[in-house]
Amino acid sequence: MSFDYLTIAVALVGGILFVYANMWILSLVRPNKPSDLKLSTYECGEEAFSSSWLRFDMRFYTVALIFVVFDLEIAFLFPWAVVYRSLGILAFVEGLIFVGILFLGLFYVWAKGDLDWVKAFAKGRIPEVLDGPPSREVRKGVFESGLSGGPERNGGGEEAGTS
Amino acid sequence: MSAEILAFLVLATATVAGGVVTLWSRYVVHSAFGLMLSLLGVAGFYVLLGSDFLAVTQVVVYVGGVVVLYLFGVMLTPPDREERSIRRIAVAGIFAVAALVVLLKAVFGMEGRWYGVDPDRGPASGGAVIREVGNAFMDKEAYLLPFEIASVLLLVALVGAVFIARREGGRGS
Amino acid sequence: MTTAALIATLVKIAVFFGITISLAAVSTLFERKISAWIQQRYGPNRVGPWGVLQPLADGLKFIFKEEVAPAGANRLLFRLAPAMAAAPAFMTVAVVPFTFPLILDGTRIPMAIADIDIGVLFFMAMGSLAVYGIMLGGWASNNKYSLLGGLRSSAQMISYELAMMVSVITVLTLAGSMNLTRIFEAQIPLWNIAVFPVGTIAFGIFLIAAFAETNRHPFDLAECETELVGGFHTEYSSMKFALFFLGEYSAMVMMSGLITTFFLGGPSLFGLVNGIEDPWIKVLAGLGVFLAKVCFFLFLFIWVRWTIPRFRWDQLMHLGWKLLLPLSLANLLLAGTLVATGVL
Repeated sequence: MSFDYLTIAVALVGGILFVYANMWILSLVRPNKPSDLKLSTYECGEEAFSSSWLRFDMRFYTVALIFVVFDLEIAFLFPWAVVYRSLGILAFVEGLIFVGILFLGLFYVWAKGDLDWVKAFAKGRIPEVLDGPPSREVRKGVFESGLSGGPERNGGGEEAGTS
Repeated sequence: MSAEILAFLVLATATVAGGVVTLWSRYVVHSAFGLMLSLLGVAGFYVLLGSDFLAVTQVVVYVGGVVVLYLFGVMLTPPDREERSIRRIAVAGIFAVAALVVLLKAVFGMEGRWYGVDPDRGPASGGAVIREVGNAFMDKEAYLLPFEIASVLLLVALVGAVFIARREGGRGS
Repeated sequence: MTTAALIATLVKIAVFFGITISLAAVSTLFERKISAWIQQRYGPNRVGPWGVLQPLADGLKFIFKEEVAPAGANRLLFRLAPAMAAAPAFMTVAVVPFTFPLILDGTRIPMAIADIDIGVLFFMAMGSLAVYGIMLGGWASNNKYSLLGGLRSSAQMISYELAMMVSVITVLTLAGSMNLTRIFEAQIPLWNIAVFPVGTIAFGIFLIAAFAETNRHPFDLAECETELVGGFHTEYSSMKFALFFLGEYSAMVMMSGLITTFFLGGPSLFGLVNGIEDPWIKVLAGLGVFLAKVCFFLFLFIWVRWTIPRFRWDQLMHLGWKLLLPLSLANLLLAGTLVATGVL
């Protein structure tokens, strides 16, 4: 078994060395003429403004938080699944309870709206599916929710991640 | 045997170096990256000890989950100017020394039984680990109850964490 | 460890990595050819007959292009990120069985580079590492498009990872092993995709999640040209860009290989290949069948990209969390019930 892992480790180290050796050797043949303009940040031709390490929406963090908990629970399920066939009804009941509690957590975050990305949708103010050209109110709702840019949108910076 | 020692030295260097980067780097993202290296090194130790299941779980949960969460958190937080103030370093130092004392006491308390298992047993192999873990989870005498309680614990953690994130974050607009 | 085993391992490494990289290169050509056919164009046809040398020309171009890193970039992570994006896909190659085990004089040589007993978990671990290359690449560039692209992509990948893991666990309850060779061997009588309804649903969920994990259309919000230019690799050029590119296509090849192994019986073909007596012919025929299945999925990846429009961000997250995750968990419980009652 450890031979297999040795193979993997050797492949990993060899691969990294190969990639960086290549990058270094090949960098000798390619041109290198930096200029201020060339090294500036690309922003579609506009002058770049402020640092781009901006703060983004809290919901990305919430999603990662929920992910970690579920990740852990699913890691518990792997050994259960492997021995499942050799154990009888007990394993089934165990798994049922475990997955049931997993479901409870999912429904909690679901019901509390932590999985919703657009508040207007969560509150049912605008329908999720837009058939035909949207009415004025719907358009207003979409602007307010930050889904699309527009004159009625307020304070763009905060929700930069969700657009 | 020497290959094992060599592997141990490489992994130990990676783990400690990752820890040092975590503590000393001025960029918080570099710190998270160092932490990742450190955790990968620990996963390597598990492989050396013959517990491949634990190693891979370590990677899935810690490197693939917890450190990603840290990175998200780090990107949310503006740089803290007080981070390197003397007071903070002193507080951290006190905690570090206390933790070290507790750890050393535990290590010397083992009296040579380093793994806490029968030394004649040798490392497990051949997919045995995951089956053993699975059977232990399903065994009334062993870890059946802890297995279920773990899910309740995680549920509580989820509810609590999401609650705190929701309140402090202000949720966008 | 005998010399023979060492040689076998080296040969396997050379052949399987060669196959993966060639397939990745060929699919870059076919991506452009198929997109051209779908849009009534010719596609690349200048380099070599029928444009077959296009991947080579692309490679040369990558080598001789100047490498530009934006002035404000974080040097260390900017250099590290492309390799971190490409490495997980290549590491996954190690555990995928490309064909039937070779049986010579009673010795069984499994046809995966490292035939480890927790192959499934290894693949999962590598999948969870794939997030880093994109996230760090996006962060280190000091570009707003890159940051948003990397951020979206990492949130998307972790969201779909859950559904993917649960559908793989469903396969495990059917197979009872984490060794990928054993998983496909258990399917020789009946492929998992035909185990109705659990296998079919698990296949569907895994396929959708595979699209999301590889950042392919319709889940390519990481790149999303219309709003984020190039997404996380906006600032990358030359060989570093090539690494991202190679990583993406290798991940596609690997996902196709894993779908084949988990749901389509790997190298088996209705018991035909399995019945071949001669060990070498069996191995080669199995490899052919396996690669044919992989190529089908590669075609599917490309076909979908040029057919289906992109999701909006909130739709994507809803699909992952509110549909695929609960569905996959319910499917797991159904599979558990069927196995416990002896139906499967």
